[in-house]
Amino acid sequence: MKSDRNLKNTKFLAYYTEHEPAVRAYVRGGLYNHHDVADLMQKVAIIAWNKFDQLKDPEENFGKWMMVIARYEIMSFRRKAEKIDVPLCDKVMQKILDQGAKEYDTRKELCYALQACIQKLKAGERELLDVAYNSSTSIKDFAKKTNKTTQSLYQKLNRIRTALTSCIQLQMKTESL
Amino acid sequence: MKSSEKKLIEDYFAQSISEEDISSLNELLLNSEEARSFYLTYASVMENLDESRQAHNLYNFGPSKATRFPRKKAGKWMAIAASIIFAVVSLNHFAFQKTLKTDHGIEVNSKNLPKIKLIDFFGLDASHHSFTPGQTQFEVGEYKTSSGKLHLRFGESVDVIFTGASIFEILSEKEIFVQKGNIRTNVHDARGYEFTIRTPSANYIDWGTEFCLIFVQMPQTSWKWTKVWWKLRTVKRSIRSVNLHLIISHPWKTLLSHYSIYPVTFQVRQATPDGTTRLQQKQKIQTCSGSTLLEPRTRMMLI
Repeated sequence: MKSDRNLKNTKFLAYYTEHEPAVRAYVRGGLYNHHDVADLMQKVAIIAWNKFDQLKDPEENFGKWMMVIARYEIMSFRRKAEKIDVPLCDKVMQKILDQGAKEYDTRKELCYALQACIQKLKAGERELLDVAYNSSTSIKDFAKKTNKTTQSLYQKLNRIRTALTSCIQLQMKTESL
Repeated sequence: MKSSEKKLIEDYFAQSISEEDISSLNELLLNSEEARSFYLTYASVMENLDESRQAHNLYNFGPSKATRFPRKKAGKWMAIAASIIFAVVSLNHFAFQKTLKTDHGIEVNSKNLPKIKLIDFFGLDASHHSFTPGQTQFEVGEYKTSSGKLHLRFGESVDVIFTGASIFEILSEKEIFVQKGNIRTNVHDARGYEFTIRTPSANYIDWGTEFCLIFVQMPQTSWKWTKVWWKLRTVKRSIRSVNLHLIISHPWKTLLSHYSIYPVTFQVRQATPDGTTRLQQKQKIQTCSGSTLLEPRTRMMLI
């Protein structure tokens, strides 16, 4: 009995670890405020854990199954949320979530493409990403150090993310040909 | 896709989109599969980069910091000044070095007097001490607070936030003894790894993740045990982070939580031969995300 349970734990964690980043990204697309992502993922993980016994062929279906749970939770979140937290209308969100599920397999490999695209950025752009995501220096301090305004650095960061997105799309398109 | 359309998505994720633009974005995403694909990829980029922040350097953003900000060549006079300062400091070091004993009998060498900065406090009641934002002088010894929040920075890379009544002792720049209280730490970079929180019952060593511990002795309950796994997460065939998984069993349900931490040295915490790690029983432990003082965000609470 105990070993059955341990086996279930181990299997669940293996699948969960493999699919969590792609599902998390899917959830990010379904929510406006990024602070809500962790909480929603928590709910998704708990539901998946509790219903794991009911899943047939987890090897094949785990990621998409977790995505269905995530989708339900996103829509449930939207129903309860204030209008300001859900600027995109339901019809649009349904289409986005449909497409996200359809493209799931290609998105699972996105982190490799992202790493490659980061390397294609200019040195200054990589440095700004480093400040924003890896270092303990704040954007404000970095702006002071480089004689720029904080606002201009945030705008530059937005442009970098857009460039990365375009690069990834191109790379994934090329690979699928 | 036009760049103006990409800009709409960019503004949406930056949460700086205007109401008029929201209508245009709704229209665009409703009718264009290409735009929806771009939107989904943008979301993935945002989430992957955010995950990098939590996992510390998940992605390599290029050359190391040391090469990015080259030091200016020091002039001759700088070298002379440095020598004089070094001589004075060394003299001071050998002449006045002594061992201090803290209130809990822990010996601390005076040469290790901590570099600690008071970043902020909020609704703080600490009648025995006066705190000033920006303050950098902290004696080794015991501190008590009755309520409120106190945000300290140890060295340059470890943030420690106390909430509510607490009794703690500063031992060094990398070590603190907490007798009572709710403490939250955030280690920003490698300089802060191994920041140690000592408590009456255990020592916790932080290897770069953010976690909370609430030191309260709990009465005996019917809680079962807590099991912790770690799993390696690989990016481009190299180990970049570890996903920590917690499974908490208690009589009426089982909960699961996970978050990413920096590699494997986590095993310093009471690892068992079967590859699991047991946390201390009878203690409340919180994992958390986010790092702002005024908006603490809690993911999950367990025994």
